[in-house]
Amino acid sequence: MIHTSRLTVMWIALALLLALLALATSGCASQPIPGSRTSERSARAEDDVDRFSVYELDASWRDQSGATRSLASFRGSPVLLAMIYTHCTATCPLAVSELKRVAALDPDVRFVLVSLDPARDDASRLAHYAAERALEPSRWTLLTGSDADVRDLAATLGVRFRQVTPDDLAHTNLITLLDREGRITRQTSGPIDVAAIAELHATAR
Amino acid sequence: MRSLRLAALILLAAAQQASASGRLVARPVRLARRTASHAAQHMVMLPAGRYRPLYAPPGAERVAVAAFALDREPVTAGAFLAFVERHPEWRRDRVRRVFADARYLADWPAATDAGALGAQRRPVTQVSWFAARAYCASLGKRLPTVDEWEYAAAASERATDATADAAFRSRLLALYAGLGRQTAAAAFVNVYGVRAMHGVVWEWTLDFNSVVLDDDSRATGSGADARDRHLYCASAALGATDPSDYPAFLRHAVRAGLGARSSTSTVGFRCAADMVIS
Amino acid sequence: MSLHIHRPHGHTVAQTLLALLCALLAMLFTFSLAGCNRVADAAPSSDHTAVPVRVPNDEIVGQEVAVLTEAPNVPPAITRTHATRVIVNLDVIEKTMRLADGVDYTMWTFGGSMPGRFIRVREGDQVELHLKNDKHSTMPHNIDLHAVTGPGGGAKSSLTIPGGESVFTFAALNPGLYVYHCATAPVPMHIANGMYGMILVEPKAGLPKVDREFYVMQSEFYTHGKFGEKGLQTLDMEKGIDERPTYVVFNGAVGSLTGDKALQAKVGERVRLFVGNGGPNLVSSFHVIGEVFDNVYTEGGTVASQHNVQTTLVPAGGSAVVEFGVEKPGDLILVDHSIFRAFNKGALGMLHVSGDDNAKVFASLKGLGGTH
Repeated sequence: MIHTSRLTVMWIALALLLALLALATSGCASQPIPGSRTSERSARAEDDVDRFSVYELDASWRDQSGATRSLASFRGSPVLLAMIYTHCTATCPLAVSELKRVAALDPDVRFVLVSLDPARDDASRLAHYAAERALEPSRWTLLTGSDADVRDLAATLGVRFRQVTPDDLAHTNLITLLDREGRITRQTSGPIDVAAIAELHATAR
Repeated sequence: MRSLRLAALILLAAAQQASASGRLVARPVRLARRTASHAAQHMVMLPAGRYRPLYAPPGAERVAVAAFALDREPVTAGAFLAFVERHPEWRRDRVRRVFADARYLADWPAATDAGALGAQRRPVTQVSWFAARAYCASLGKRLPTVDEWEYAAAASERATDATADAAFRSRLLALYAGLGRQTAAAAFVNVYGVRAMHGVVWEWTLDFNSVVLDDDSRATGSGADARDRHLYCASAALGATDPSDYPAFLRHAVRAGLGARSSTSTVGFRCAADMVIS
Repeated sequence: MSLHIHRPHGHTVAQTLLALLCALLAMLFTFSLAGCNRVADAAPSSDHTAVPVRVPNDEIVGQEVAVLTEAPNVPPAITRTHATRVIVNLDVIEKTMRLADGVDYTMWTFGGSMPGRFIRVREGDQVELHLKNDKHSTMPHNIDLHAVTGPGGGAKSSLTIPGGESVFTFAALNPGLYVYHCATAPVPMHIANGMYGMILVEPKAGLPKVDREFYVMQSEFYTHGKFGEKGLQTLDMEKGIDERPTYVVFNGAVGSLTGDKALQAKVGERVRLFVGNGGPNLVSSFHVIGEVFDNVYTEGGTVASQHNVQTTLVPAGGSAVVEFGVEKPGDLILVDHSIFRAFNKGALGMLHVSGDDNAKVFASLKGLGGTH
């Protein structure tokens, strides 16, 4: 356990340094570098003519209040969706804090966090997680479901994950912006472009 | 009818697997002798064993694979046509867009026409992961996991694990380079009795998206310490159990390139089931 | 994509590496801050040593589709004086092609010819790259352009399955001559099968005028059969790992620049060769027999860093630009001067110079040779 905590401290230090580095670099560049858009997996060309909705998936979820939910119940509002798990200590908190940053800037977008670890993340665990991070229930929905539904959603979104040890998951850290119909508008593992959400609001009106 | 009977017989196994599929721990189920003998015509029993994945989990170079059954051959276009006829929601003109991209069964002459008899005998391609999975489920089966598929694919005609054999590797590379040039019927049958694992079509696996791999294959590998590798900007070779296992890298890259909706002319599938002969 | 794994047990090696990484990042952080200050303070300067962080700030005017060429041809020089959006359509095609007389090889190509299509853009351009993978391909492919500032040189955003297409954009920030290649696992195999080409990012001021420009790219092939063994040859991975190539060639095949296919120039013309090396393993000692390079833009950079050069090194995954005037008619021979490669493995090309003789440049006075 000593090792673990030391390792954790180092990871935190590392994360801080990375964040500082990112800040320093962004401070240098007065404009976004278009080349860096390559890190965003914007919908691939084939899908431009072949748009689909994530809401077409048949899956039944349970939210942090224990109620049954379908993803289609989010229809009508832009949604930022991330697949995380509550025991995750490194990248998931970063994703959540990025989503919280957006929450402060955009009062209308909804947030959905879907657990990659349904065996451990039951409704009460999700409720605890949400309360700990002050995730306002009217805007934030945390979902857990069957292994098969988790795999389907992950496969649909292009989230890759793997059980590494009984306790640990390796996964891609991807935030997906869905439009009002549940179509994938944008995906990023970096900062979210708030303007893109504003565009979705604009087309909604 | 044959398929339906098979479905009924191994439904229990599939149902149990569905609940455990997330963890990918195969759960052996004892089945009646009749089941086993029937399935044996189409499926092959593979004994429990261990194999060496391209990227091993921490602390273990080999991964345990429980006993399971695997289709002897890739699913043919004719068999898939029968499925589409029974389940019209999987016709190319009716399939939900979330389940398949625009190339789904695109080369068939019509939505319920898989072409001439010769074409029907060939492995089906242009099927998405969702469609492949639905096909297997319709027969009470499932897709094999990556571990199961690789375990079965490690075998040559004589050895259960020929992956370290340079001649075998070289042969696989040549087969892959000419993918599709040989027919399934002409492909070799491995020591388990499984045919055409290499060089006819790439095949879907249940957890194809467990390949946590950067699209840039030099930057990371997958599995155990993918994050470390990502940060150290090293190559995919780092952390691989055998950096010279090029056939394994190729299969890995194919999986990494696929999305669940991808329906390409090079990817087909075969089904698996959890079974133990009593 | 960032990845996360939490490991509960201690790893001292991991800790050490982490500590090192942290230190490195701290240094980088300091450095980037310092860089920031320099940018903030520095007035525009002609001091080439202090390169500021580049920001694409050229106004993008209009849009055009890039003309891509098969070797040895090079797209025409860019006459535009403004930045534009350049659409590059590159198709990956796997096809069986001639490697030598009677010898075939299933090449994985960018554009259906060997080496990959030559791309020419201007510094400051916004490039939109469309990578299509032929539906008959057996493998997924991607592209890493060394000219790209961005994740994997584009590779991270371009893994493309057969029948698929990926699109990404990048700013052509740095002028120079760059190699591009496929970076899908196993990378050496994709490169060994022919997946490389070049992209020229012309400096804003353009390149000095010459009369002829050619695209020459060296690479090796590792086949199961010996050099010249007939039939369809396949990749011998062991030879690749041991770095023992069967073929070392220019432009994808033995004899692709000889006989009828020799490069052509006239006495009195100035010639520029865009020389690349796809590798996968060897460094080329590029030499033109019977000529001296007047200018060498070493490693494909933008400064004519050396004059009067006999042989220049072209690294694997790198390039060089050489310029020379041709003063004497005859055949100039392009070789990798690691000479067994030229003599026994195919690294031989020809530049045929026609025109009036000039005895002042060279004349044979006594011996078996003619005037050449």
